[in-house]
Amino acid sequence: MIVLAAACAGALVGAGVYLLLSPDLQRVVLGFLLLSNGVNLTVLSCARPPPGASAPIVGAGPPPSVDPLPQAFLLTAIVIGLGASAFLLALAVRASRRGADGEGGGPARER
Amino acid sequence: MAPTLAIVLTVLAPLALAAALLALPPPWARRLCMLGPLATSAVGLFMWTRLGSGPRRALLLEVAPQLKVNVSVLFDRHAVFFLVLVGLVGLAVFQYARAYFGDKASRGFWALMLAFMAAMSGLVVSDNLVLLYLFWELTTVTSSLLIAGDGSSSDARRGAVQAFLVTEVGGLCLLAGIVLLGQVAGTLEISQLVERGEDLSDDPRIAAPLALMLVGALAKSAQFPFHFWLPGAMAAPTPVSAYLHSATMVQAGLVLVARLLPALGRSPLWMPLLATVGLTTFVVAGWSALRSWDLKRVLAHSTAAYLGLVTAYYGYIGASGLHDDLMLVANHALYKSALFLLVGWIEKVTGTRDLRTLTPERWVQHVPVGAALFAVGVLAMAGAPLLLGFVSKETFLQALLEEERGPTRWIAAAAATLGSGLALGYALKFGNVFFGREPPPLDRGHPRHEVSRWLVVVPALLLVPQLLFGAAPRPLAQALEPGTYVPEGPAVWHGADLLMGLSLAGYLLGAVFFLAWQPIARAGRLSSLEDLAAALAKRSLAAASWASRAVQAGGSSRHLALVGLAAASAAVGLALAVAGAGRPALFPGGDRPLAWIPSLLIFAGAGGALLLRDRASKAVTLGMAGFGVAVFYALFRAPDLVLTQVLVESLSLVLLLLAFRKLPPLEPEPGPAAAKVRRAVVGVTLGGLAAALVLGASGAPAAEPAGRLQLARSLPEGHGHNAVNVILVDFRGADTLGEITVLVIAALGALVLLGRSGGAEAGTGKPRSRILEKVATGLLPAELVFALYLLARGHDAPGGGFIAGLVVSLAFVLSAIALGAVVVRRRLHQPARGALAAGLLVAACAPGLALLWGRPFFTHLRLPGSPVLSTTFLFDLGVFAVVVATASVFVSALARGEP
Repeated sequence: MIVLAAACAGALVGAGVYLLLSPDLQRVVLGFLLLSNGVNLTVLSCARPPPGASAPIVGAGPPPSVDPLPQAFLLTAIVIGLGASAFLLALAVRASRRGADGEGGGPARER
Repeated sequence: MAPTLAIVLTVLAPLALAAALLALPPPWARRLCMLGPLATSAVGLFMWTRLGSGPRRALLLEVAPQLKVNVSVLFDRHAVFFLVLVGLVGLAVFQYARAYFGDKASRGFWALMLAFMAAMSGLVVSDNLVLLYLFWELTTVTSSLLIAGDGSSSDARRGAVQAFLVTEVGGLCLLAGIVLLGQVAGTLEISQLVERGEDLSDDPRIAAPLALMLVGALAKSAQFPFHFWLPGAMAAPTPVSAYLHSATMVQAGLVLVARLLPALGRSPLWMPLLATVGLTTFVVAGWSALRSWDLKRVLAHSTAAYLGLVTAYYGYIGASGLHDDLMLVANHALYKSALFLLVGWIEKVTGTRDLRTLTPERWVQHVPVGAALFAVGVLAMAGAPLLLGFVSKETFLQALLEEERGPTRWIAAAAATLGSGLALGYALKFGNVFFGREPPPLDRGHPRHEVSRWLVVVPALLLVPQLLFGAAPRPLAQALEPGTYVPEGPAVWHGADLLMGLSLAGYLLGAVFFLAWQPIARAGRLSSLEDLAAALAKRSLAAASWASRAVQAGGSSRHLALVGLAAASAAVGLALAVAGAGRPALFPGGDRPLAWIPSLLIFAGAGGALLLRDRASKAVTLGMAGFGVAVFYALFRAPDLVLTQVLVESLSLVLLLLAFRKLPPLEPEPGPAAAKVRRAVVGVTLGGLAAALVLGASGAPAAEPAGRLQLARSLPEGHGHNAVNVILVDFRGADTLGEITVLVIAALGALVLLGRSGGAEAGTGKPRSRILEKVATGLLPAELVFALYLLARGHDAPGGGFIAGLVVSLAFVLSAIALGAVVVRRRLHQPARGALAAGLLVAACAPGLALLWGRPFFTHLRLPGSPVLSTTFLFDLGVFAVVVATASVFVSALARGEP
């Protein structure tokens, strides 16, 4: 499984970086989403669950349990990733609106 | 008074006031700013009366005991003295500045002054050296900003950059010294260093940290060879110079020296270094003062010179311990700030402070009071008898003669005499400004400028101690340091001894310098250090702009490629280290054919996002990859992550589709093929590294999982079965607090970007599908109840604030699709903004409730007998509210203007 996880993480990161480097803002957002998934998968795969381990909920399964710390980190990372990509989207919309209005993009035109 | 209260009043309250002033109308800022120095002086004076019970040390917060970093304060004689000085001179300067600027000073100016004062107060009472360093840097930053003013004058900008660079170089030396000192001494608390003074001074390893820290102190106090930055900083407005460059900031170096003296004063490095640097500055800066034409520059050089004298004095008393130094410091702070303020007044009255214009004009009968005050200040600067300045000079000479031995004694005595002569010379030249022959412009019909009386009253108050204690210094010396010996009377005549001879020689030299100062000032320049510094400042700016051009130009793709390559090289190192740790075992747990399912989803998703032309299809395949990742999370036994990932993927898909409707159609990818190849290379490299990292980590020997302890403590200490949630809301709750703050900032950013301008509300808000509408609205209560259930049980089973928040967000999105964005927007927009603030507030306050019971931040309290009600739940509720509000803000911002 770990080989597949590694390949998936690699694919997500690689595709994400390629899109992120694009000059086009919409592709950048897509790349960011892919990249954050890839990085999250990388982190969790590196945490190496022991075979046959149960979820980190006390009393839910027989010990050993998997390490809860990476999961806690990732949970917030996923939500923050959403916040960041949503912000990027807002930025993209704003940038395109300015371009469409022919305002020339100068901050002097801001209210 | 408890040290905690004193810190709150003198450091935190002024900082808070500074922040508040920025939000108030300028007239209010002008009135309220006085509260800062008032509080500082009151606290300082009160603490001064309580000094009899010995120094008071307080450990306010243990930050990182293993790094010896604490928030700890020490209220001893020196700390409280400097606190009083900062407060009282602050009071004088603030009042003067109110009169000087009228309503022309901006709110930012008052806020900066207050912040600077707070930093100074914090600096003088810090016990921990790292804390002291933090305040030190805060004074550097605020003072540079004060020098720069509103940034409209290039002189002011140059002066600010120069002052910042020089004191910053010193600050970095200080930091290095502090770190080394911590290694050698094992503590960074000044009070503990002082207790161990004997063995530290004899330790040969102390030389490097001591030298580095003294370099920092000397740079701050404008000592040779750093003396040039102070005149450059004179572009600052006069009240700023009076406060920063005479009484407070430049004395910060002396504060540090005085703090270190009991601990390290016996070190063999101490006396030679401080005495040499101090005396050199005394002469070099005195010479520069004699040669300057601008009154403020004269004062700046003379400040550096006098601080040189005090520095040398600290060098001499290193072995015998602190005594009489406070009198020297008080003397200078009072007369020098008064002189600065008087120069400000002269400039207002005469319209200039250039000696070339001023000296020939006869002002004395127009401004008799000011001229008299000026004379007192000038005589104090010259060290004339019957004034405090004289007592200070004599004290210094006495220490010099007692401590210097061998041939250096005569060199030092000669330097001190030369310096005193120069001081008399530039003081007389300075005092001569009112006594020219030509009539002033007033008599030639120019109207006199209206000048507030405070511009004279404030310096007068500052000069009172000169007259009061100059004739009878003993009460002052006894008050500052009980048990110290100072002669009863003015001690003008104490026998025909060496001291007398030196004084007389100094006066003689001074007379010569005064008579010859104009030719001296016109002679060619000798000192080129200032030019060197200017060149350095210019070069460093050029280097900075070169570096930013090299790294930052070329658009975001170049930045990202650079960041990516940097990350890649770091990752190569990491991967090599991991690979070196053990041979990768390639197939652990190969018994899971299930893993093929998410892998296929991910490969297809990533490929689709790259190759498909239509952006909606791209977004959908992206979601596919995301769900694949969720399956992997399930295989890795992470139920909370599965829930979060599924909800986030759905939500981001909706957000993407909403945004796409407002974005222009996706063009085929721009740019030449070569650029695409480059990007592909970077992508493949980084992707390969991620894969290598995973494989490498799988082969590394199993380390003790970091979270095992948290897992074990989850139920007994966190009272929750779900270790992930316990970590989020309890063990690492502060992280979570930071993370939801990021969410709030992102939401505010979206509001600013899309909330205000453009995009008029359009559309009727008519629902598109009756059935969908019924389903969405009918389901909403059920979804809310389900979310609350997830929230409440999150501590024991998969769920919690983040997940429950995402469920509600999805419910709102569903309604948005069913009812039309306008309706949802109308209903959601205002409440979402409120929830954003309320959620963050609740999450920040819930863990703080423990403070009321004297327990540390993030100690969770539980209502006995209730399974759910606790501050953990409150905190999670705050997280929930923030997530819902953030998602709602994004949906309503992106849906704005949609039918």
